[in-house]
Amino acid sequence: MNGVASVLVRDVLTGPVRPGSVVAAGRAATYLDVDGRLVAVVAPGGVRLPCAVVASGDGLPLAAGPDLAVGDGAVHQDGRRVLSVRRWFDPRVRLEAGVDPAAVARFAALVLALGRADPLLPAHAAERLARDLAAGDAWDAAARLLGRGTGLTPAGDDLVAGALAALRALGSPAADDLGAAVRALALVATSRLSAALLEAADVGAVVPEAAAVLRALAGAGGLAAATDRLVALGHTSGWHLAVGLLVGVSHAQGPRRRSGDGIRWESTDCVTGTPVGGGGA
Amino acid sequence: MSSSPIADLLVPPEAVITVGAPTLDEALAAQGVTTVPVEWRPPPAGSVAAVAAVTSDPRLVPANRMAIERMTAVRPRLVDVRPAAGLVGIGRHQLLHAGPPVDWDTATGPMRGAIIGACLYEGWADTPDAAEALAASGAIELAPCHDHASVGPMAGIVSPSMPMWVLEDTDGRASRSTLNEGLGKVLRYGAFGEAVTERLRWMERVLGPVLASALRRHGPVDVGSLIASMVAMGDEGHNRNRAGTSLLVRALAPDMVRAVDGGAAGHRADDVADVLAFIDANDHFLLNVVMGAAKLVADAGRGIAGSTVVVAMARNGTEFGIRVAGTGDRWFTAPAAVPDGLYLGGFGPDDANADIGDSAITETVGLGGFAMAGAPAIVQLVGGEVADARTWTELMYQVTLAEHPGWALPPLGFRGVPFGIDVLRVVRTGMAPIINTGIAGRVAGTGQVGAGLVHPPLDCFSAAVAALAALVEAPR
Amino acid sequence: MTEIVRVERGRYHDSVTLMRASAAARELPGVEAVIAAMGTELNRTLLVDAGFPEAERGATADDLLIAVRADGDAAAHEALATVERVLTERRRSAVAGAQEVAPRSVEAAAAQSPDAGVVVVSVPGPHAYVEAAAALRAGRHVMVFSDGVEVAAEVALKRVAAASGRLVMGPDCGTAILGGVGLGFANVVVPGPVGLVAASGTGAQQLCCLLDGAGIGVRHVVGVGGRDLSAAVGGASTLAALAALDDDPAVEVIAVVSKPPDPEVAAVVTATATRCRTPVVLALVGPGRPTLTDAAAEIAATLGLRLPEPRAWMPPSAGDVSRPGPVLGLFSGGTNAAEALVVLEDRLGPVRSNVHHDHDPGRRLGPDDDPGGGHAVLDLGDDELTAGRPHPMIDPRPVADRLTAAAGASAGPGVVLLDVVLGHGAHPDPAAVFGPALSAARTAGVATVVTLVGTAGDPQGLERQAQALFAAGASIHRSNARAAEHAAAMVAGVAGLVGER
Repeated sequence: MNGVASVLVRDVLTGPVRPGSVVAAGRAATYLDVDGRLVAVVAPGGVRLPCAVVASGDGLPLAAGPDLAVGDGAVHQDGRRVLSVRRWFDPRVRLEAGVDPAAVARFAALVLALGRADPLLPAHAAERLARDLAAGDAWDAAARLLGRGTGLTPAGDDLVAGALAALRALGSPAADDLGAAVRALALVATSRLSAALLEAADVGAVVPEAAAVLRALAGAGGLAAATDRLVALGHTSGWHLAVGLLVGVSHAQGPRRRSGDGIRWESTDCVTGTPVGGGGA
Repeated sequence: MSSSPIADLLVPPEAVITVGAPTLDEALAAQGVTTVPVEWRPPPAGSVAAVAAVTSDPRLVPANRMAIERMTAVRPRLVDVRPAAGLVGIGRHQLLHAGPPVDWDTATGPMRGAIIGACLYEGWADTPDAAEALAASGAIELAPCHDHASVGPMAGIVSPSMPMWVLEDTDGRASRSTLNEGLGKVLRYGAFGEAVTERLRWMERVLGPVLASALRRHGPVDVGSLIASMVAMGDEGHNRNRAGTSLLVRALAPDMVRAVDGGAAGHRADDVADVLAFIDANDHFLLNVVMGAAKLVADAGRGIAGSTVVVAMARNGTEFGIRVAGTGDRWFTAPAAVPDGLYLGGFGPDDANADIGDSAITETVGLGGFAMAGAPAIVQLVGGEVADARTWTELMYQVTLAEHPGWALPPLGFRGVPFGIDVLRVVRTGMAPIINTGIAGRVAGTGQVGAGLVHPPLDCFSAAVAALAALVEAPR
Repeated sequence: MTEIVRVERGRYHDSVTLMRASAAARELPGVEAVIAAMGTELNRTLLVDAGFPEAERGATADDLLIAVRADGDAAAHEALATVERVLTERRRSAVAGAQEVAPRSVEAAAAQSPDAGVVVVSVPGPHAYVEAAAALRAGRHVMVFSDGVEVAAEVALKRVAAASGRLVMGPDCGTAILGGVGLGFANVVVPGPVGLVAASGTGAQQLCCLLDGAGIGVRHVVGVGGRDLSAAVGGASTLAALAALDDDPAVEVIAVVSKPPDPEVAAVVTATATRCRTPVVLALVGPGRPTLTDAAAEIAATLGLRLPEPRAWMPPSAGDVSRPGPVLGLFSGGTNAAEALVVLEDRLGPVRSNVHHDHDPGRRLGPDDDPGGGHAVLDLGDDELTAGRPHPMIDPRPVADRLTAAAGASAGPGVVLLDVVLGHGAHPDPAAVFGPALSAARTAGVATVVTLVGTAGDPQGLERQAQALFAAGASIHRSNARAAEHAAAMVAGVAGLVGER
């Protein structure tokens, strides 16, 4: 079977064949730890995570179990190549020319009109993340949010990952502080998969659905369709990622905004998901 | 912000359409890209240059857009029933017929039978033999219905005394069609004789006048909306008109009843009851109205230079003919095929005549075979499986330019019927339109022998593309 | 012996599928010959030549011809059944994947797939304009892989594309890579800082592979077609592609790969390149110009890196001898042929070729002309040679057959130079096709030098192919320029030895 893989795990995949241990497995993906690096082996049509090798045939190429290995351009099971990499993709996004403020306002309206709640997240999480970034308190923001929420990628991690990736994509200096905090805290605060995704966000790498939103904010492609696709990811993951992107993009846009024309974060209650209408410039 | 309009090219494509060598499609699939392979085949060798020339015509897109806009803007209304003589200006020894021009010598059984029947009905001859001799002598002047803003199913014979439906668009254009005689031994299928003449006389004396007074009292019937309703109720408007016929009766019945005591112009209660019983016995009664509406719609697209939209498909039992928006009044003809279908009683394929009738005007505007997905019961009449009905409609979207905004198919999520046949797409895909049709007996006087599916010959479409290519002015 | 010739009216399959069906049926025991082909004049002649005289009657280009010769009726019918199975298998798989009915036109496919932003057109040349125009009207970018498209059609397509903000890659565009996804013939590259504008597909592949060897990734290859920089076309796609690549912040260096352009177009391209914020390297293959290997080094240098010497698999120099005789170049890649021609002429003097010599028609060599004992370079992927049959990168057997024939000829070449191209779209195992021919050459004393255009990630496996070709007796270079230099040196060396005697 053939597959496509992220350039972020290229060194692991093209290096010598090394055994991997399964850290988590589901119907859509198997997550392997290869000498401390996480590689997601994703079924066809699954989410193209920044640490993934995605199969392009039919069905998940491996049964979760022992005797899995990675290297020499392939994933191996029981000594056989079960998934050969036939293309590399680069999940990193760079928006040197910046974003269109009008598009950001539209994005805010689109995202805030769709509420997704996570009961384990602190109240007004997005608003506080935005405020912490503005105050230069990246460490506090990361410490309060990482690992908070349900699932393999907790909602708090999604928020932070979105914000961090957006800051990196736009070359914002705030990315360095948040990135350092995330790297220091992620491995102890959250799941292995989530930590890997946060690490990817620190180099501006995101799932293609989020990348499409960032590019649309820079004027390439349809924003509404891209937003819909991102928000549709996972149970609440896509929406929290979207809110994170919005926080990051808004911060990177800087203080050019006049007071009062910013995003009304108070309407973004990630605990109840309501009320969510309005927002925008 | 990006200044390049093609910035969207520089991302990994989610999906790629491939047309041609499968190797290239497979190479993309191996890279995890969704591919959409086109089942391509070349147009006939003789059409390659013409297809390219017409494709390159700068008028193509705007002209077709104009044709579709004009055709979908038509609001056909049924306004009256009046005798043919005054409507289409025919008199003694003059008949209209279905399809492209034909003469007695080349006409086949059902067309000849209907001409004989019309001569007997009009009293131009006393016996079938005398009628045949009259027609064969060349004394009967024949002209296509289509040239007189008219349409008629099967043989489509219109004689001066026959009552005709009159339809109008809001811009004052009109079309006419014959009244449907029912099934069995009827003139349009080429039957003639006492019973046929008797029925035609009753239609002239009773049916026409009752309908006319009911319509005049009622006011115009919006046939566009009626078609939308019947399509939603499982009719396709060509071989299935059950729901539509009922809807028309429901609308006109009160005014038919009121006409009973309408003073000098009043009708006998028995006559009105006969009219209602006659309609009840004929599930196809509305077909001719739908055809008249379709004619009005199709005619709106005529005479648009550069347009490749088909504005008429019609058969005379010998030849199939089409007309195209961009080529004026010219017919593109080829020998008509024999339909493939189910036969009545003891009849079989050997008894079938080649395809005949103006009723393919319904397919010309997206009804009939094109709307089969909404009329799955039709397969009991024309053959095939229910799934085939849906497939045919889906295939027809590939040879049409638009969807009719008002005529929606519930099984396809209320998608509009495939509308605006493009001769260029027909030639490029090699996929001829699908037509649901009745099958007439080969021998004059037999009548209907079955119903089924038929395609126009592709040569009609290649010839039209060649003619359009000759009209492309600027070299590309 | 049973012979069957079947004519199926109005049935169409593309030549690659027909070739596969014929090949599958030919494998059966007792089957001597199977030809399934569209009934074009060329194919009918082919069938008559193959001993099926009745093929001449009654078939037209719109009909499918299937001819079988086998040992007995059973084997013949088995062969027909196999042809049918291969032909219908493909049809069915195309239908099964689709939710709705399979699209019969580009417009229908576009209506079914609003997300498909690119259309790849590879129908025979005379039909390509119509399909490409349909793609543009549906608002899609289009890659026209087909060759044999009229210049006027190309100009018309590019005019429409410019007006609607779309790009036409091609015609005769063999290679494109968009964000790492390869279209057409493309090597598996890692998305990196390089963006290419390619009027030459094989040139772009050579550059990608040389950069891959240096660990430098390529983000995009925007193909523009071999004629884009001609006076008639005026660089329409090149200029649009340059602007787009310049806008992509992930692209740190842009290179334009082409034959030397029309001087006026060159001036416009150079002026545009100067205005780009991203550095632009012009890699133009022609006499007196740097080779693509030099261009790769310049790209690396622009990125602040050094291009290591491209890898080669060569025997110890003592074994590097051949029989006396000239160089014969057999290329499937046009730009590889053109580059080899420049290198060889520089070192050996005049070389005859079917690669166009504007300035010297005397050196023009038809594909079947006898080079008359002189050096020769043939581009076997040329339009004229591939009309109606697969490109030699898809099916390299004709190239291997020429090598075998050249080795067998008494007054044949001393050194044969050829290119083997790996990657998506190319033959799954070219080394297996060339192996016997290379061995035959070695036995005849003919030295073989191979340019191996591939990356470690290619499905065929660069190392595996290199070792198999090497084992068959060839010297292997990743750099086409180095391969040509090697061939020239060998001929010069043999000439030196002969001279000493």
